[in-house]
Amino acid sequence: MMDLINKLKDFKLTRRSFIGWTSAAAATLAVPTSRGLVAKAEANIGVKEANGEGVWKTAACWHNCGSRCLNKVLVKDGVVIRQKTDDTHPDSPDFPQQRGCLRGRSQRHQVFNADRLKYPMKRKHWQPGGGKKELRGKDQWVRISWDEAIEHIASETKRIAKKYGNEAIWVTGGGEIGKAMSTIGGYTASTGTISWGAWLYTYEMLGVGEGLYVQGINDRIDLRNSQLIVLWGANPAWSTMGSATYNYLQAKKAGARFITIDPLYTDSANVFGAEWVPIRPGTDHALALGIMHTLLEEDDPVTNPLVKWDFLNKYTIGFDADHMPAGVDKKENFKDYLLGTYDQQPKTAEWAAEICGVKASTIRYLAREIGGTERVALLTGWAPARINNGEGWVQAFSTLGMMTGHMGSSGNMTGVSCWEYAGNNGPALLTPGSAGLPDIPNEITNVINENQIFDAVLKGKFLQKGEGERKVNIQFIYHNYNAVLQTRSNIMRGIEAHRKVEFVVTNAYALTTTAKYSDIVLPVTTEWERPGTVKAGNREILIAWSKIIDPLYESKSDQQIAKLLIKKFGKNPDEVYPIDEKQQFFNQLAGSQVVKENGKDFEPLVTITAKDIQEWGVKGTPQKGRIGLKEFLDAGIYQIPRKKGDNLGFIAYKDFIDDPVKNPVSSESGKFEIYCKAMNETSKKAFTEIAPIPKYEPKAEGYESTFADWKKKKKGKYPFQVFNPHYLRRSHSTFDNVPQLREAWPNPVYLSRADAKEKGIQTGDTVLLSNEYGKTLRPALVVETLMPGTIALPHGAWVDLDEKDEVDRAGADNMLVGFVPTGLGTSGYNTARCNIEKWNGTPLEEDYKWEQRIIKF
Amino acid sequence: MHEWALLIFTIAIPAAVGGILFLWFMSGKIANDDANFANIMKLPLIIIACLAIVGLFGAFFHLGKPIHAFNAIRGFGRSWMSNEIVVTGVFIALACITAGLAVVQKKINPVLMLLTGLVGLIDIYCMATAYTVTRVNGWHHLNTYFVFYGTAFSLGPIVGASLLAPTFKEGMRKVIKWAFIFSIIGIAIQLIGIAMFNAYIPEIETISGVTAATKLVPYSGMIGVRWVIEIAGLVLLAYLSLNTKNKLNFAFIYTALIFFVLAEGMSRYVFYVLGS
Amino acid sequence: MPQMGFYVNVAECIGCKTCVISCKDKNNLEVGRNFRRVYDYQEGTFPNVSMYHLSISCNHCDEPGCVKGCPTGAAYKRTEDGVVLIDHEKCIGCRYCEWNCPYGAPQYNKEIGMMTKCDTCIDLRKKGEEPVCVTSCPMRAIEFGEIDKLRAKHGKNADIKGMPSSSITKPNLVLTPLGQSK
Ligand SMILES: Nc1nc2c(c(=O)[nH]1)N[C@H]1C(S)=C(S)[C@@H](COP(=O)(O)OP(=O)(O)OC[C@H]3O[C@@H](n4cnc5c(=O)[nH]c(N)nc54)[C@H](O)[C@@H]3O)O[C@H]1N2
Ligand SMILES: Nc1nc2c(c(=O)[nH]1)N[C@H]1C(S)=C(S)[C@@H](COP(=O)(O)OP(=O)(O)OC[C@H]3O[C@@H](n4cnc5c(=O)[nH]c(N)nc54)[C@H](O)[C@@H]3O)O[C@H]1N2
Ligand code: SF4
Ligand code: SF4
Ligand code: SF4
Ligand code: SF4
Ligand code: SF4
Ligand SMILES: [Mo]
Repeated sequence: MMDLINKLKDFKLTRRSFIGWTSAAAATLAVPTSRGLVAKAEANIGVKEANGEGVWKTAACWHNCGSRCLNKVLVKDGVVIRQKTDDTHPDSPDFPQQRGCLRGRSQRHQVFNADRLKYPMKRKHWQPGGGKKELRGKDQWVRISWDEAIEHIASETKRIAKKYGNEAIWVTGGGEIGKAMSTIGGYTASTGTISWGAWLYTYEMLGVGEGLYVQGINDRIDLRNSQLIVLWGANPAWSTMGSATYNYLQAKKAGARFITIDPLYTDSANVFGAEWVPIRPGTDHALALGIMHTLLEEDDPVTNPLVKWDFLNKYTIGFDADHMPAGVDKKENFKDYLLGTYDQQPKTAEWAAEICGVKASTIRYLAREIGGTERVALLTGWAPARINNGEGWVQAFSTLGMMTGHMGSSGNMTGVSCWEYAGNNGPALLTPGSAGLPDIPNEITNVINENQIFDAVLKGKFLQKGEGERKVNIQFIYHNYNAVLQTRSNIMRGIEAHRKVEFVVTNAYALTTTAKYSDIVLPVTTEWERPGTVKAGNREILIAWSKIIDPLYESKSDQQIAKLLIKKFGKNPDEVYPIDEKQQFFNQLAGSQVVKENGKDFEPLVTITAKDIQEWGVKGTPQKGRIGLKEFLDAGIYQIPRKKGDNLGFIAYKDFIDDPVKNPVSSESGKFEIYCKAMNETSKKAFTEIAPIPKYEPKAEGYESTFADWKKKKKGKYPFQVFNPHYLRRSHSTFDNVPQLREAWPNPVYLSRADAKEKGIQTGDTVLLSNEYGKTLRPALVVETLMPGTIALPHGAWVDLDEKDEVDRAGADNMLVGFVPTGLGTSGYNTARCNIEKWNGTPLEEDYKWEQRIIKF
Repeated sequence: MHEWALLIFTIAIPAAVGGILFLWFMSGKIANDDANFANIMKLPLIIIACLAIVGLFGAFFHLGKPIHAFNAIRGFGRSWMSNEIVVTGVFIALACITAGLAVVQKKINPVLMLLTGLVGLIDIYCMATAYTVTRVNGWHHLNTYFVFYGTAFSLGPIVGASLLAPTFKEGMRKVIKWAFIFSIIGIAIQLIGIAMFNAYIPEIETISGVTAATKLVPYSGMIGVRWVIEIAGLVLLAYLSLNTKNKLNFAFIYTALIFFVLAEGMSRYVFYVLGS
Repeated sequence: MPQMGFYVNVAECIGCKTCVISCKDKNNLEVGRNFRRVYDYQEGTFPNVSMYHLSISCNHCDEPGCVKGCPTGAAYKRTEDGVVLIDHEKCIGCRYCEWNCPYGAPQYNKEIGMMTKCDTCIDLRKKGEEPVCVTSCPMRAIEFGEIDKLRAKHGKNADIKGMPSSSITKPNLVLTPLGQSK
């Protein structure tokens, strides 16, 4: 009966939620007539609404999602009423439209989300110097004025800098606030290998490409020449949304076979019809060794040529005793390590099988397939390298490619296929111009590794790489443009660190975790509320997005905030920002370059007339380019058409292969280093020592550590390995607050049927994942598509601790990832372990029903 | 479950149908002092007509756009939903006429009562068919008829009996006895339906792919309780009709009514769970 | 215009749900209302597994249950191209069509108290554009067009494991199951 009454109320309720939903925009706008999300919009300079149907404008999709797509919004009567994606040219596999994903198409729900931060605010109990610091993350918020906010931040900055030195200021992500701090003496910085895992600090020394700065695989058209494509821990269908999976599919259609080596049977694997080789996270190194041992074992130069000796001899050092660099022990060569000549442990398929969980027969099969197929693409994402002690994996994987000669020729490639360049390496065919802002040097040299950062705050010391231990007394954390408390290891320790320091500030557009644990939060604009940017994406495109709406509520851009701060510091903002954001955008446009017909040289992309310059009200000189300024902005994209046999293709390492002497790779020896002295030397001044050849070592918090007794195979306290696939509902933590994405992609933890059965867990049950670092909940999704013994905990959910600061009900991945700085300082997100059990407390509701973090004053 | 309106509708109408049939049946058994007879029957008939109207009115709450409700007759002959609505209309009209005649003419017309009841039975058929022709697993089954007719025969008699109680004190023992007998039939009908239902291997005709059995798993407790209550109602009726020593306690009759209403309500609740 | 329908290449769908969201955007659908939906399925046991995702909206069926059951005639099948629409002058919001559609296509709009569903992006088609779900799919797995032509190109199959039989409402839908893509 009460439902009948509710039913009567219901109509009003929906009305109300509808108003709540759109009210984000209400500050600036005309009243909505439909449920469309609305806000006052600006037309591009020079663009006019033609026929009363509205104007399509290119709108930013600016996230670190591993792709770049074209996103457009329909602006009518100053209101954003719809979105669409690339339709600027007819679609074909060679010249595909840059279609966006479900997140991009939810962009207006993020910009106009009911949880947008409206005003500067401070924590109720905040006082200069701290003020009930333990209430961070729990306190109420009080609205303050911009003047007040800037005044507080400036005076606290000065006080803390004076009392403890500028080293006490930790600015995460550098950014505009980093520049502001640099005007008054600098700040302590933090860094990590984040995305790349072990590739970042090793690739130069090894002489290979890490997949972004240095390109290690061929381009997408050449991928169609591969006969066998091995996806080794890569899932473009989730982690390079947009065009990558479609590009890969063309290789399948051209006849390539696929194998996937992954703890999870992925959607990429599925549409490519891949054979699935399930593997334990962080054990790929062992598998690679097992494969390479088999290659050696079964190789016969005449009857069964699996190893490309010529390749090894000509392009690599360290493989065998005859090819060792001068001055090192020849016994330390890789071949003898594989064969177990000196350590009495041949790295056989059986040896590897015990560690990685792949059957020995399968390992041999992989060796024969990879070694015995003429054109092979060995492609890995960064994920298998985002592990503790991961450096050896990078080296082992690369060595496998060298041993089988799958490098440097058409259809052959070994390297990283990830992020915006997944499946399509090669130099960018278009480049954006520079904004034209000066560099502002940071006087403080502290760079804290992210595996140590919260410990550094709590314990007052850290390892300065290449130097040794340093003391530091962090008392002020300023977050801009990243989500450190979410995306760096050990959230619980992070919260502790945040509650220890005297001052925490965040610039944010929603109450993200970093904002939540701050003292002062400044509302920033989104990219839709800024003049515009030119952005590169995959190598064939350049995207220019421009302003869609005026800043919502009282929000300001990061640059505006930095300027206010600099001024309050008593410095001159014009020295840091001599030009405004519009001029910066213009400079990027004017400086954008496009490859010429010859495929080598570059020319300006955009034609700019004196009239354009005048209309824009900027400084500049007219120039001749490929495409008119308005034309470019209207389309929002410039894409180079590709086709088979054009002169824009790319074969990684071809120069080196053609002439290794004239075109050496980046390593010390100029060759690919299977024995890498530099890596060994560098590691001695980092966290843990790394062997010069890819010797297997158990990874900290890896598979071996799930055992109390490895020899007797007795499982320990945390018997499951947990890893973090990047998940399609969000880009890291970004978008996780958008209800319609929560609806489309729920927030489960993936459990294998075998483990679930053992634990009596069924799909939908709320489960508790726990280890010594934290406790976190998620609804279980029991699947057949996961390696038993492993748990896939999708990356990036917004941590949501209970009142006792114990259990997180969002299932944030970094509740379980510990601080274990290893090797050169690799971020080891995919090596973690935990226990899992059915949760006896209140079960979780689907999170699209959860209350949003809306702050009411 | 959000079909409260339909729940009320599909209990009220069968209860009214069963009630009026019971009154008709009893009218044949009750002595024929005309004036008194009309007096006895007047109030029950009015209340049953009201019950039917309340049922229909309840159904309106189900509609998202009640102002368009008149359109619902456009589908007569094509849509069982329309058929149901039209026949419900006829039933209510007849029930009102029957009650109206009782008030205005102070005369009871058993033929009209019977006719109303028969139209009601047709209405229940339309009502049940409206569900059996859907793709919803668990509705798409003969059992649905047993569920709806079951309500008419188990709840109808006790409704009729309770309504007679205030005006017809003397012969109540007899009334209760018949109500008891009919309730047994009503419950038996439902049990047969359930037996058939449990035996059937469902063909899933909706993409959600959930079987009735799976949907009902969380409600097994409720289903159990429902039967306990229903049987308690029946036992109460049995006690009232068999215990001839003590004076009839009317409170017991109403308690039995409440039991049956609760039990049928829960039964219907579970029924609508299937469609949610 | 002849009968229109959808083709969905299940074999090349990655289950990303961009079609769902782009449709929501086009039609301003709140959480809970989805003209297009994607259902996820898994087959086999570890490690011999496969998955498929079925993206489906309204199939504008030849024998539409929604139309047959509708008490008001609000749900109707357009003669010119067989598109099944809902007339908001007539609909009473009884939600009966939800129970009569095997595919979960009718999506109730609480705010207006009436039923809504995929209309094949009729307004865009009038302007010569394609439906939004079609142009949004990153895998190019959805096509829209004259059903005869789609059937000529992709075959006649409209059944897949887990889905109700196409014999019930005769949907204007063509599906390529996993393992059968070219
Ligand atoms: N456990 C685990 N942790 C991981 C990973 C993993 O796989 N597992 N992956 C790692 C990887 S690869 C990466 S790259 C990192 C990513 O780590 P982050 O870069 O920290 O992640 P994002 O969620 O993208 O954070 C971006 C934040 O900036 C905010 N923001 C966006 N635009 C603006 C702006 O204009 N101004 C300001 N001030 N803020 C803005 C967004 O709201 C968001 O909070 O995470 C890493 N962390
Ligand atoms: N949807 C979405 N896409 C994203 C991002 C996002 O947050 N969300 N983030 C973007 C960013 S910044 C980055 S750096 C990239 C990262 O992209 P990737 O490095 O490719 O990262 P993941 O998606 O985590 O993992 C890819 C595959 O590797 C598997 N894997 C994980 N650990 C191991 C392992 O130890 N061994 C093996 N063999 N396989 C393993 C996972 O199961 C998954 O299928 O993604 C980008 N794309
Ligand atoms: S893949 Fe990334 S850039 Fe492309 S639409 Fe999605 S979120 Fe935006
Ligand atoms: S957008 Fe395409 S690939 Fe993604 S779920 Fe829909 S049909 Fe499948
Ligand atoms: S799919 Fe459902 S709603 Fe659409 S025409 Fe067929 S029966 Fe009607
Ligand atoms: S909700 Fe509307 S369209 Fe659906 S059956 Fe009822 S009247 Fe017809
Ligand atoms: S045709 Fe239009 S309304 Fe129908 S599912 Fe596709 S996008 Fe949605
Ligand atoms: Mo990343």
